[in-house]
Formats: sequence, structure tokens, C-alpha cells
Amino acid sequence: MSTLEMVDHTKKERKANVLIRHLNLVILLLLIVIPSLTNPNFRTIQNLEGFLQSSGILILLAMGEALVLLVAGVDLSVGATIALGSVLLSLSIAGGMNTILAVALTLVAATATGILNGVIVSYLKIPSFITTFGMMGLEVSIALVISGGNRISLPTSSALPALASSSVVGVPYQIWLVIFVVVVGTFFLRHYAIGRHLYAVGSNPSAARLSGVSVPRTLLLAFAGSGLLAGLAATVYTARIVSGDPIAAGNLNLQAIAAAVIGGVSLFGGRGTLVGACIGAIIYQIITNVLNLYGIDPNITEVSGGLIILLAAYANVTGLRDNRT
Amino acid sequence: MNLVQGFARTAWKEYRIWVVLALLMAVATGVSKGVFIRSSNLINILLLAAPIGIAAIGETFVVFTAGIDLSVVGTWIMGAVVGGSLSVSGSNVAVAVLAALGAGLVIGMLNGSLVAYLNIPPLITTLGMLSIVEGIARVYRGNQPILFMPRAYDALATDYLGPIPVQILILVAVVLAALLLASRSTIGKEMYAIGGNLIAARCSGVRVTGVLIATYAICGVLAALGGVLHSMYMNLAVPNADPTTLFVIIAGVVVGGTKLVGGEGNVINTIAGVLVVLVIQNVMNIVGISPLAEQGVLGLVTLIAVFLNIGWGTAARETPQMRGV
Repeated sequence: MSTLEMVDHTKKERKANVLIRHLNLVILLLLIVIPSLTNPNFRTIQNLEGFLQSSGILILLAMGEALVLLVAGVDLSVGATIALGSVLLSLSIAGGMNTILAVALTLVAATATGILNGVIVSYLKIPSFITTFGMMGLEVSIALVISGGNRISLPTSSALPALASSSVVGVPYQIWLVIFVVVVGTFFLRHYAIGRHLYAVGSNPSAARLSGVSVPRTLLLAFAGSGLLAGLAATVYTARIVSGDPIAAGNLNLQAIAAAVIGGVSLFGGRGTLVGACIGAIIYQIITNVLNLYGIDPNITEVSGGLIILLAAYANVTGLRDNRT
Repeated sequence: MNLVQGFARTAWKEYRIWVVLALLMAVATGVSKGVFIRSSNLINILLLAAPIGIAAIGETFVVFTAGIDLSVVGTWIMGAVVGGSLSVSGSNVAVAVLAALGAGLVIGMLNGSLVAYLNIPPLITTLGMLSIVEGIARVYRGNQPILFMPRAYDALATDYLGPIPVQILILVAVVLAALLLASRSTIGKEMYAIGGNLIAARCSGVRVTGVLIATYAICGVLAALGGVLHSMYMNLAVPNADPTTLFVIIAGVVVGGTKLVGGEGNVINTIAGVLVVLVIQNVMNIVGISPLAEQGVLGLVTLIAVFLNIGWGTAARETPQMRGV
């Protein structure tokens, strides 16, 4: 934080500053409190459970997207990676492979797509949006071809779906996964150089390069991380729908970006945190959840998703969250 | 080097995609054992190429300004839906088509305004708008497709003027207008200027906001026109945005040689790019490659085309717009 903060603010300004800096948490709080008071369905245990079950995917994707956004890139292929990962996972399990091995295979494959994205962006210097756009098409096709265009059901004996719906200490496994990723990820980024490199490359690639940061390698790792998280999301997704789906929602790309942006990750790179992306994803999910509860046409929810991202992008662009005028 | 050599060299550099197209057609004829070159097949390709070519021309203008419009497929279906539903409910053809184009104009102007006034990156803006437009189209149609539009309405896409399909005449008219716009008008030059160096353009008196809005507006109108013609030809209008259409449009622009960093490019080459992509699709169909592989092939073609156009290892020119997504 800059020394400008030492400038004398009035007490009112200081309070407003704190509010704006933690705008996310404020919004989150409001989103939890207001619907709880006004809509009886919102505060039921079922709703909470359902919510926790379904938000894991978006949170993971948002964190992956955050990594890429930090280096001033974008990953449009995460939805497709989920489709591909989901198909791979269910085909492996249905083909008799040990579940743990199958999950490992899926994660490796997903990370590989991320690495491929990273290589094309960092070494071939192709802009990330067209790279991931093209990769999205490739991944969707591969998923469609190896699945024959059909959903692949997981065998009923598989342990995976049970894992997804069960809980430890009342909290679903998925949420533990998310917590694990957040904690490990944040720790990793904070204590290893790669974390700072991400921010450096995102804010000023030339300066980073001149300071000895390997820009291509940082980019590569960012996209690889996004791929890995998408792979985790694919595992959760497959467990939830108990099958492999080659046409998993393409909307997830936009939602992941929206969630990260809401969470304070800057579209221009160099700013944001994994935790922020988490909060953004939760905010986005709550909004969707509330709209659902009020029986709003899912198409309108889609429209509102677009509006949210425009709003969040605008806030992002005008630097609303970092006190700059 | 004498005049002829110099001319040939420049012509090659600028229009080499047409040579690629010719070679590709030769290969296609061979691979398909002559099926490709049948006049019925070629006419089919042209009739599919016309609407896409028109939309791709609009997209090309946007890319000139170093922007991107991912919402074209949304505008495409919106135009089809608006025109289709008006024609089915009895409006005359001109009214229906004009209303569709009007919808495209509105969407385009919204895109342009968000980019020009709010400075939201075009990628995010158009991605958000895509969701919004698709959602609105679905709500409007209640997820139902429009079938059996009146013969008079479809005429624009299915009729012939002598030996030439009306669609092709429309395409030619649009191409001529686009060429005039791009090379002879002030706005055209301003588009290139904005894409080449935004700051320099602004300092040179280019009316940046006005031109940007106009560019996206033109893209919207042309995308709507494409969607209308396509729906007329198919006698079907669906409120669902087809990702393959988006892929073909973007691939067409990219294969045609227009660089994504903006500031240069050629409208005529976009037509060649669109034809290349459609020929590839056509050959895939004839040879019997699964349609599931379509998106993958398109993605691959896009990546290869971008790579070839950028050149080996040359860093994409970093313009101010390129900070961030």
C-alpha cells in the first residue's frame, strides 16, 4: 500500500476508505443477511447444503481464472477443460480404472491443457484470448469425439459420487477441497517467488523481465495452474452429475471471469488475490441462488450474469476498489 | 527490382490468402475425389458463405480497431429471431428485415458505448453482451425456435436474379461498401489509426469515441444481416447462439490475415478467409469426418492462422489496449 495513505483524512473519509477496501465483504454480508430476512427458503438447511454443493466448481474456476488474470491474460478454455476432464474421468472409471488413478489422470490431462495454453501464449506470443479460444474448440472436440457425443455414466459401484455428496463435520468434501486449495494456494503464492512473479509480470512485464523474472515461465505456470484448478473442478463436476458430460456449460468461462473480477482481481493484471476470487465466486453464486429461489426464468439469470460482469468490469476499470480517484 | 517484380511481391504479400484458397480447393477436389468441385456443392458453399462473410466483414472492422466482438453470434441470432417472428406474425419483408437490422444496430451501439465511454475491454464487454443478448432472445422466444417463415420472407436468401443468387448480390454489395469505407473514407482511416496507436490517434484528432461506436454498430448491423439471411436460407431461426458460427466468423477474419493487434488488414481477405474455413468444413463433411471434430479443427485452424500471421517469435506489438485482456 502506498504512502499516500499517510495523508490526513478526516475520520469520515477513513471510515469510507475502509468500507470501500472491503467492499467485497460488505456486499457478501449484505447478500447473506438480506435474503435471509426476506426469503424464508433462503435460510433453510437444504438451500445452504445445495448451495455449498454447487458452488465448489465456480470457486475453483474463479481461482484458476484469477491466476491467469493476474498475469494480464484470460483463459476462455476452462469450461471446455471441465468437459474434457469430466469425459476422461468417467471413461477411465467406467473402463475399470482405480478411482484415485483416474482422478490423477484427469488432473494431469487438465494441467497439460493449461501448459499447452501457456506455451502458446508465452513462447509463440499469441494473445491469450485467441489461444484459449482456439484451445476451447479443440478441447470440446476431443471431448465430443472420445465420448461419441454422449454422456458417460459412472458405474453405480463408483466411490466418487458418494464422496462428493458426503460431508465431514457437516461440511461437504468439496468445501474442504476448496478450503485446502485456498490455504495451500495462498501460502504457496506468498512464500514462493512465483507468487510475486505473477504480480510482477501482470503489472509490468518489461520491468519484470529486466528484474530477472522469467516472463515466459511465469505465464506458463499461471496457465498451468488454471488448467489444474479446472481439472479439480472437473472432478467435482463429474462426481456431482455422476457422469461425464462432453457439453458442460460453456457459460462457466464467463462466470469464472465475472467471479474473479467481482472478487477484486484486476482485468489488467497485477492486482487481486485467490481469497478475493473465492469471495467473488460466492457472491456470484448467492445472486444466482437468490434469483432461483424467486423463481426467475433461468434465461433472465443468464442476462443478469452478463450485467454483473459488465458492472464488475466497470468497477474494475475505474479502480473503485483501490481508492484511486 | 523492376516495377512488375515489385508489384507481384506486394500483391503476394497482401493477397496470398487467395492463392492458399485456390491451392486448398485443388487439394479438396483431390481428397474428395471430385465431389467438391461439383457446381451444386460449390453453390452450397457460397450460399453458406454469404451470411458468414457479411458478419465477418463487420468483425473485421472491429479487429481493425484492435478490438474483438464475441457477441456477433448473439446479434446473429437476435436478428434472425426478430426478423423471423415479425415475418411470421404478418409483417412485410422490408419491415421485418429493417427491424432485425435495427436490433443489430442497437446491440452494436451498446457494445461500442461500453468500450468507448466506460473503457471496459472489448473482450469482456462483448462476452457479457453475448450472454445478455442470448438471454433476451431466449426469453422473447420462450426457448422456442421459429419455423415456417413465409415464402416471401425467405426469398431474399433463396431466390436467384438470373443465374446469380440474391444472397451473393447482397454480399457483393456489402463487400463493395466495406471496401469503400475501409480505404476511401475518413472513418475507415480512423479505424486503422485507433488500432495502430490509440494515443497517437487521439492526439491527432481522431474522434475515437465516435468511431468506436460506429465500428461496433456496423459490426452489429452486419451480424444481424448475416443472421437474418442464414435463417431465411434455413427457414429456421433459433434463439440459441451456436459456438461453431462464432468460431467460423473469427477464424474467417484471422485466416484472412487481419492481425488481432489491429491497425492493419483487408476486408477482401476476410472473404477469402471465410471461404477457406468453409471449404475445410465442406471437405470434412464430404470425406466423412465426424461433425463432432468440427470445433476442434476450427480451433486448430484459428491458432495456426494467428501464428502464421504473427510470425515466428515476434512479440505482438504491445499497444495500450493490449494491457490486460
